[in-house]
Amino acid sequence: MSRRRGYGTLATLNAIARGYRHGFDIIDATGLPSGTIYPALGKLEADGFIQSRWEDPLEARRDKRPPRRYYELRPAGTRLLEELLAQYRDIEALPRSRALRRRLRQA
Amino acid sequence: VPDTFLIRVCAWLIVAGSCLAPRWRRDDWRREWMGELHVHASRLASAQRLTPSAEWRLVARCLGSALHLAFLWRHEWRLDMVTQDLRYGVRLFARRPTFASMAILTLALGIGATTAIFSAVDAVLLRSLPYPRPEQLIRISSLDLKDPHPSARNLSLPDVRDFERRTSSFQAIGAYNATGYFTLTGGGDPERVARALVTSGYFRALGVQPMLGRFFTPEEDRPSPPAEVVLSYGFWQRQFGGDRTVIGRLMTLSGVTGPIIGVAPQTFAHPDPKIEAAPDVFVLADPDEQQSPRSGRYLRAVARLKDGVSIDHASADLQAVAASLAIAYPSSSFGKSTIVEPLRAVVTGESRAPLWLLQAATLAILLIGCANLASLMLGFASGRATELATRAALGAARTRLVRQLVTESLVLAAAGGLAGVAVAKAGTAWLAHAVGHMLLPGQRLAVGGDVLAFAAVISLVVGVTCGLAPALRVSRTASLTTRQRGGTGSRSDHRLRAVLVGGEVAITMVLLVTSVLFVRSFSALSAVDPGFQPANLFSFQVAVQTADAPNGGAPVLYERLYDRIRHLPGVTSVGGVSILPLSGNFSCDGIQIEGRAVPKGAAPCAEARSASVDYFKTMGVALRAGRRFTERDDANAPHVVVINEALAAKFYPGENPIGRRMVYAARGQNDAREIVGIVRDVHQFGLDETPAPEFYTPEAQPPSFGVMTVVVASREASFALIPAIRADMHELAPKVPMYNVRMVRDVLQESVSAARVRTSLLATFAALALILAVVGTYGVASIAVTERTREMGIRLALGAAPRTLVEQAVLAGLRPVMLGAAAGLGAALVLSRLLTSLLFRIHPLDPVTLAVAPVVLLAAGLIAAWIPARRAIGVDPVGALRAE
Repeated sequence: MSRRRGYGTLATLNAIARGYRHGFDIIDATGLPSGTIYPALGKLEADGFIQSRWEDPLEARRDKRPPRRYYELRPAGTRLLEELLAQYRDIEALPRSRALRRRLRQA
Repeated sequence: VPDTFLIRVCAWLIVAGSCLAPRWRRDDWRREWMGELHVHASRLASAQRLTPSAEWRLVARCLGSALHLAFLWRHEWRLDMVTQDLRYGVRLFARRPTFASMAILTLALGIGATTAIFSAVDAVLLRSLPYPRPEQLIRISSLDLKDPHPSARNLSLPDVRDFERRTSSFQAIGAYNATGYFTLTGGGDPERVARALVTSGYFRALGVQPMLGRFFTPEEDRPSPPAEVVLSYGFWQRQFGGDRTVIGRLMTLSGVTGPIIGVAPQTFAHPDPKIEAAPDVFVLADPDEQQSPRSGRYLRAVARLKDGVSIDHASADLQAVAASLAIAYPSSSFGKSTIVEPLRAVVTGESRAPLWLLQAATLAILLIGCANLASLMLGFASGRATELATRAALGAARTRLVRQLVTESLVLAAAGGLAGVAVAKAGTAWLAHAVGHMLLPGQRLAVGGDVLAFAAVISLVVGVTCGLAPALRVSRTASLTTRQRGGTGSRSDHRLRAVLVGGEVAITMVLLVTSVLFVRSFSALSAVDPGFQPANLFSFQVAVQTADAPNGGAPVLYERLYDRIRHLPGVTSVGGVSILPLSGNFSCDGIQIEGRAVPKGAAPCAEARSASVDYFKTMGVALRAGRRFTERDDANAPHVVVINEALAAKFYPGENPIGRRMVYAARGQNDAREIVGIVRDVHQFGLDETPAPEFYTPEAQPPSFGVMTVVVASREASFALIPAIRADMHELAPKVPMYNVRMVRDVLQESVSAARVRTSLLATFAALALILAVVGTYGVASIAVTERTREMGIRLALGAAPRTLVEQAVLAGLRPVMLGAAAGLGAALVLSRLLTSLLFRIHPLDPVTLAVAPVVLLAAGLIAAWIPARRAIGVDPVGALRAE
């Protein structure tokens, strides 16, 4: 995984992992604009981390609505999500510098 | 689904977006977005949360789909495909160097000419003036309401001071006079430096900060102001090598010594393009009543409006003051008002029409070049029909073929654009002559960033437009059916080419008419008799300060100088005058005609010149009546004047002015002088201007002038005598500088140089257009003949006369030319009216022009159609039939 992935990718993967499977639902869940989410979905799909399918038309017809496209994680996507989350945890786990600690102590 | 307006907008956005999606994803894309919109909107509606703000958020979300589309296209247009097309295009053109170089040359000329002229348009018309908040700057001028056609005139210093004190619309008002020179002494040879007399408001109004030291303060605007000097950046560099310690150093200018107090920044430009030389030094104008009377209107004024004050308000403010001044000082200000104009309009006003005309001409050339290129590309692409059809058959999408053809045309356009920039760079040096007088002093023409951007944009537009039309046409036929090998071009190909040729001929006709009009106008201008004989004359100026003059004043020194020069070998005559014709300077001095009642404050003015005894003889100014000056018209003799025909006609209509008297009422003079002679009118301000009333006083009689132009007639036109004269001058008065040595013929030429360069530019552009149109016509006629080779072979074999075949081919080739010429002539008739103000003594519907231009164009078209048609006779019938 050479290319850097941004927050949009992480948020999208995370939302899918937590069960938000449709485009607009992911937008609502992450709070990110459509212009971020859709390209992220496209790129993740092109790179093989997620896959998209059309839902069963019969089911849609039963609910009297058009069929929707839904996205699911592939195994590589699950791994990528864990990796990215680990990176974010690493960022959070960065210890305070000695200088800051000293300043905090004095305050 | 809730059916509100905004939800419908969302649906439209999605449908519109789906049209832009790559075809194979189009349906899919639309269904996905529609589905989401549908579900989301109905979910919100059933939860009673479909508020207007929620709807707007949905609209924003649908607008975001544009980024989704961009993402999809970016995946579609992979970089390797573009580079593949590029490499293919370059290889293709490398194998057809003639075709490629023709196309690149055509574009280079078109883009180069357009870019070069654009650099001038950009510098003069588009770029804002080099001052902070330039929109606040205005020019104030006086207006003489007694004049039937009042025009903006200079102001006097007391007027400016009153405007400063009594108006409230301005942050600052600055006045300047930048027409004279100082003599700089104190280090080596005396030198002349261009000066500007200014008020302290000058720098403040323009919003300039000193680079070094300080500028003048308002308190210094007082009678006998301190003799302080501000240097221009250029002069500081030239004279002091950019020494930062100059502040406080003393400088002696025309005998007055004062400290240098500041240096203007490098970016500073004097706000007036119409001056002889950019000022080197700035000194304060003396507002003393004696030095600057209210009637002495020798200043121009710039002012900066206060924030939020409109130009109309400022104008009303000034006019109120001017009206009260007219009442308070009737003798000098009766009937005078003011006019304010945005400084930008004043600076660029006269340049606008000629520059846009030149820009239009270059765009016309570019269009013609484009038409030629499109025609070439069409022929080129038709020739590759087999290749394209094969690719289409192997599964290439039409978009893929179009993309490749457009990429190829972009390769050509990019090469043409690069070459064009080189052409433009070479052209700007030449162009500087044509537009130099439009630029502010110190401004330069340069091919800078914005000019390069312009060149890039037009190259791109040219590349896409020239490539797209043929590409669409050819790719359509290619993907419909595999064509026969060597099949002939379709009928619509022919029609498209004919339209292209007709269009370029029409544009060429307009350009041709314009340039012939300008050539005729310029030859009319050159044919104007200046009123003097410039052959074998050279002139130079001397500047004498009172302290350096011998007893008896400067005229005594001049007389001694003439005497020395007269005895130099080869000199036939020598004379002197205070202002040389066509040198750009003027003096409107008040006069009164004796025995003529003059309304108060309405004293007429005329051009006053001080001339030596031999001046008229030297310059070849013919005497019309009476006598010239003689040696006896000296300081002790009764004062006399010689007038010109215009003065005689204006003030003594139908009378003999000889022996009558007129009063010289300016420059401290107030005496009646006898008119002893009438001389021919001399064009003082330009060959295109009617000579103004003018009178001459003998050099030996007052007023005398510290600056004199000496005119020397010699047997040969050369400067060989100058060193000898310099030596004489140095012996006579070592401190008096001698400068501005010029052939009088060159002064005359220079006065029309802008018109000459403009005319030759237009003529060059018209010639270019003509060449391109001939090439275009030739190309199309040539293709037509080639395609009909077989038909002609058959007709020849059946006994057709070769002559008939040639005639038919020529006619076929000429048809679009004739139609185009007719259309172009019609357009020229309408458009030439716009040129009226730029033409001299030539009517826009000049019959000679309207006859010459079509004849030239049709003759050129005939040749272009005839050369390929001649090949029709040479066709070998058997060979033509066998080729099939």
